[in-house]
Amino acid sequence: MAKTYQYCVAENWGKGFIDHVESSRITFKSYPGNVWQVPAYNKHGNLWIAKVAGSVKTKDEAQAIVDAEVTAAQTAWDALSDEEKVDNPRPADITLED
Amino acid sequence: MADYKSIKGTKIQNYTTDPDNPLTGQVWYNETDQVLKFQYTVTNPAWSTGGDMNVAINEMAGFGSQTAAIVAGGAAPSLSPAITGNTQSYNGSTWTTVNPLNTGRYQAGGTGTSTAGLVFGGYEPVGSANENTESWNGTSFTEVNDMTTARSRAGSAGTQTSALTFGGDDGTIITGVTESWNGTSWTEVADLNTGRRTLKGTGSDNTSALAFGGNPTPAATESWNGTSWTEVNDLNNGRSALASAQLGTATAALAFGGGPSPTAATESWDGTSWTEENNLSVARQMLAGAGTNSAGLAAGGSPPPARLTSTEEFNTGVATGAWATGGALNTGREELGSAQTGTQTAALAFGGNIPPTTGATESYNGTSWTEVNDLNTARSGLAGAGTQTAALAIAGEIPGAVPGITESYNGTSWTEVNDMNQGRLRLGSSGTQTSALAFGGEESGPPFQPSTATESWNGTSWTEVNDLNVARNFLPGTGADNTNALAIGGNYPVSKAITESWNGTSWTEVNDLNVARISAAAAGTNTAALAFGGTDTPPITAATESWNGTSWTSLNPLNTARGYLGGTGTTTSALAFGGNAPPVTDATEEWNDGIQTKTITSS
Repeated sequence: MAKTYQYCVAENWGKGFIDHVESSRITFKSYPGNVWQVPAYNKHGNLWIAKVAGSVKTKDEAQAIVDAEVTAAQTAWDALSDEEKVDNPRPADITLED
Repeated sequence: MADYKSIKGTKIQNYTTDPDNPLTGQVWYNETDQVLKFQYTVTNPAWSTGGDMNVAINEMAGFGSQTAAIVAGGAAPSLSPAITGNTQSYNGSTWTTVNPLNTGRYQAGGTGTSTAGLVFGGYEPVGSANENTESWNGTSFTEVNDMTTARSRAGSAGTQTSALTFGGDDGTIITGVTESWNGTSWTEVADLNTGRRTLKGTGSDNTSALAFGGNPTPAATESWNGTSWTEVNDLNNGRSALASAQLGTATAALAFGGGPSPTAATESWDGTSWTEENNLSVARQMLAGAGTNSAGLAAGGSPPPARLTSTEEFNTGVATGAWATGGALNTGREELGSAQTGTQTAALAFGGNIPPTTGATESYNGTSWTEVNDLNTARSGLAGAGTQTAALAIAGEIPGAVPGITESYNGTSWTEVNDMNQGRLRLGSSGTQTSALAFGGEESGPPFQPSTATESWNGTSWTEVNDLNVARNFLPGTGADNTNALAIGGNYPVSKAITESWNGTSWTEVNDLNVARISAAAAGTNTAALAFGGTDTPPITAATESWNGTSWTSLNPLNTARGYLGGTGTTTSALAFGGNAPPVTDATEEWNDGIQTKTITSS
């Protein structure tokens, strides 16, 4: 099955990491671990990954990075007191899309 | 050849740096960079909300234009009988119930205009397809000659006097049969290459049409030349029970919505291939469609088992705003306060939860955040008003306590001023340092109770004024002062899409957000606002919507979805910062309404 999205790891350096024209052309999604999702087989997505020197990951590799971050966050949440947990839902598992 | 001055009335201006607020279309020469630049607007096709239908309904026939449409028949549990001849007319803003079909039915075909339409086939009663055809003259339906093959869930194309119907089923057997209407009677012509039902079509008349989608070949597209069908390029997103802009043609079509899982996908056809466009705001199937591929209309339909009243309008050439990354906060945090009437290049963030609760204050200059003096009392879930140099920090939670502390910022340091009458957290706010409004939130606890209470600040003290209509917490607010505010979404006991507008005296409930959510951020006034981010317990959303004083329109989402964030600015130039993605984030994003500067090159 043809994939819809591609993934990379890139650290958001702030201004200019994603500019307005890039954001108006394609949809970006960010995930824990500096994982970014952009459309697959898309010129603008490929150009952006090159611009930010993103490290391209397969979906499984990206999922492993996200899982590790989520697990760490869940562990930290589990260590909170009951009072602290009241207003903070436990971080949910995240499943990346193909 | 005309030169720039003869067209614009002025010579191209030289600047050492780009002008601060260039007009769309303005051209200038940047002496430093030695390049010619101009200001332009980025446009893209997009859906926006239209007026709600009078009846929640699906499986109607739709025809006409975006501003003069008809939907006829359908299934509406609120009506008796539910299989109905109900007919509604749309004028571009409101729906009016008009004279019904003579034979109530659902899943019928329809084509034509709001003054000259045709409806044919469909189920009546359930599971029994009919061949009945009715002609619409702008006022009422008249029965005319039947189709030769009774069917439902067929595709349709053409006009009242030159139409085509194709595919469908008789209640059991799927067919590829095509019939041509000459204004008087139906004649069977060549079949589709692939028989199917729940497909859609469009076309100028009975000699030129397009058939697409349906079951069992949900992506298949075929083109009709007056004699036979030819297979052409597939839809990108195969689907059945979709809709089409019924006034489209065989070379300019629009497909949207569909199932079997409700989808919001929209695609446009250019005569050769399908291109994905911005999605509907509400995923739906079994909806009605009208209009063209540059001005389409989507009405009703279902995310089963619900029926919808909502309408969406598709337009090309919509100015397309977008979020770009900005400089990160020094301290990532959630449930923070913001100087609500700040700007994208002069913002103030204060307080929040790292964790722990913080009093840290940071100032943004359009590029980076700088730490300035802390709040006197660290707290989270607070509200804010004012500007970068004249701000107000309102209420919030000190761990274990919810006082009504108010602090005033003079550009350098915070000073405690008079408390609110009712301490609370996770409230909304609007206005300036000398004219602010605070509303909703949680009053006490645990367990915390949602509040309707509203208080007005005159620069010195808080006064209780009229309550919100709906108690809720986690609601962002925005507005110019204590006479102009908007309370957006919120929570209790579930996330809400409710919007209320404050006129200086009382709250009035106005049209809902497209995406119900809590803990979003907002910018603007009660007639021109932006709402972005938030959570729907969960998931976290990146959704951005624009308020024009009447209704919300979906815009491009945040690049980092998050809730519990801060926001400021206007509908044309806003700022989003901090929040919980998860995890708690320092990310900042800058909204620009689509106005861009481009460097002119000779190549």
